[in-house]
Amino acid sequence: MKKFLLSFVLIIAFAFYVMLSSGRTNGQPLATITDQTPTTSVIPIVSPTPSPTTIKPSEDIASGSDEDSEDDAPKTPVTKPTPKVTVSTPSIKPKTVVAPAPTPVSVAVNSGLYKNGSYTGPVTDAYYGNMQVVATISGGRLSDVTFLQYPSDRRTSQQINSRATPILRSEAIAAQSAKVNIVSGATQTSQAFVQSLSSALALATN
Amino acid sequence: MKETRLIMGMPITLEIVGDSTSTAPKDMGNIFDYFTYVDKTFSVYKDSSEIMRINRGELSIEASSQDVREIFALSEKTKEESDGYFNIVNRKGILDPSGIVKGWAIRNAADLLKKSGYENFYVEAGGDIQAHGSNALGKPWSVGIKNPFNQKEIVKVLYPGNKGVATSGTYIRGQHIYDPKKMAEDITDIVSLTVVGPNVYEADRFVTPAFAMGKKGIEFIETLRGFEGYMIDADAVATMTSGFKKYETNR
Repeated sequence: MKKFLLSFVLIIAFAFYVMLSSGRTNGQPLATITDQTPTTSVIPIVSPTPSPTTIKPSEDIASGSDEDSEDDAPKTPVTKPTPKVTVSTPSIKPKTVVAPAPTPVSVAVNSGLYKNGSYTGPVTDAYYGNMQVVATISGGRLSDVTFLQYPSDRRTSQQINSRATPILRSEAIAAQSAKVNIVSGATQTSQAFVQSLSSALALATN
Repeated sequence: MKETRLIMGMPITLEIVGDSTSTAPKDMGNIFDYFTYVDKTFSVYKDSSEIMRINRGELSIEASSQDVREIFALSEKTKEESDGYFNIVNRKGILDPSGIVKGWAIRNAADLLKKSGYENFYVEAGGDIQAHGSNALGKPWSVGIKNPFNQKEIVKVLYPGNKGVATSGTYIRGQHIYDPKKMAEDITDIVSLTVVGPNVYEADRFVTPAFAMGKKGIEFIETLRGFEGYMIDADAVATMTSGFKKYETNR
């Protein structure tokens, strides 16, 4: 039920956004567009700002401060994300285009098909908390939805708090030559495997 | 000293650094005994386990041991916190808490070692890790994430400090994680997910539901305070959470 509601709210939010952006009645940009077709699972994200802002170069994010205290300090859900650009693979340089104010960018296409790109929706008030999404369009269709804000007040544990803006990075995996003390991986032998093997062996002895 | 034994159907390794006291072997033996106890209590492959007695209706949860009741409570909590993606009821309709028991047992084992006064050690069971202190060279413990496409390789080196590390994947056991909301479908778009959390119990209990979410799982980990994740998808592309990078440096 929650999922349906969420999906419904999403659709409404996106439709609302499209209407507003194509209406060109507001002098302020409601969203920014990254004019790029993502080739990996992680899409570049451009968050909206109330006024035109220069976007930090991606290197700032990639090598930016990730001080330890950030992890331990109490976090409160933020309603307005700070402008940030997310970069996927090091091999792919996303072309990030920010729509300059006061010209809003139309995202709707007359044919009814969507235009390829990533679109950040407004912060919407879902009944259980604020929500903001980035919709990715590829091939004229909604191909992915990323949450910039996610309702968090249903979560009961103190430990669990919503981070305002997911900033995910991607890379192609590559074998490392370094020696390590311990290896983390999926369970090497499972009870199911042992059980199955012993059953098979039991059969084999008959 | 370092020792590996096969318990709970998987290799379990303990290493205690720089402590050649006569009590170390005995203390390690106690830890292995603890894992044997956990296996006896929670195994769904042992008819005499409390879990299987509960499954057969011979024992009520209320009447079960404190550890079993604790695991049921923690499972329920995790189910809520993962929006239903963690489910103790498996595909066959059997109560199977193994998605939470392993990390819980490793953390308890590490706590037992700490209580015994050890500072530098790690406990690893089936690829899930709780390390503490430093290694034999006095350096931070290093953890390699296994290459899901080549078992002999590692693709990432982490320095988790005293945090816990858990990895879920489909590459060894075949499909052992599924979306509890779509019982019939297997997870195929991601092949490995590693979570670093406050301790191995926390990392383990969230890695399972996050993996079941498929590619959305890494975003779920991003929403959890104090957790970082490294996901490898079927195209050999890794996606990591915003704070994951801090574990890549040997501080």
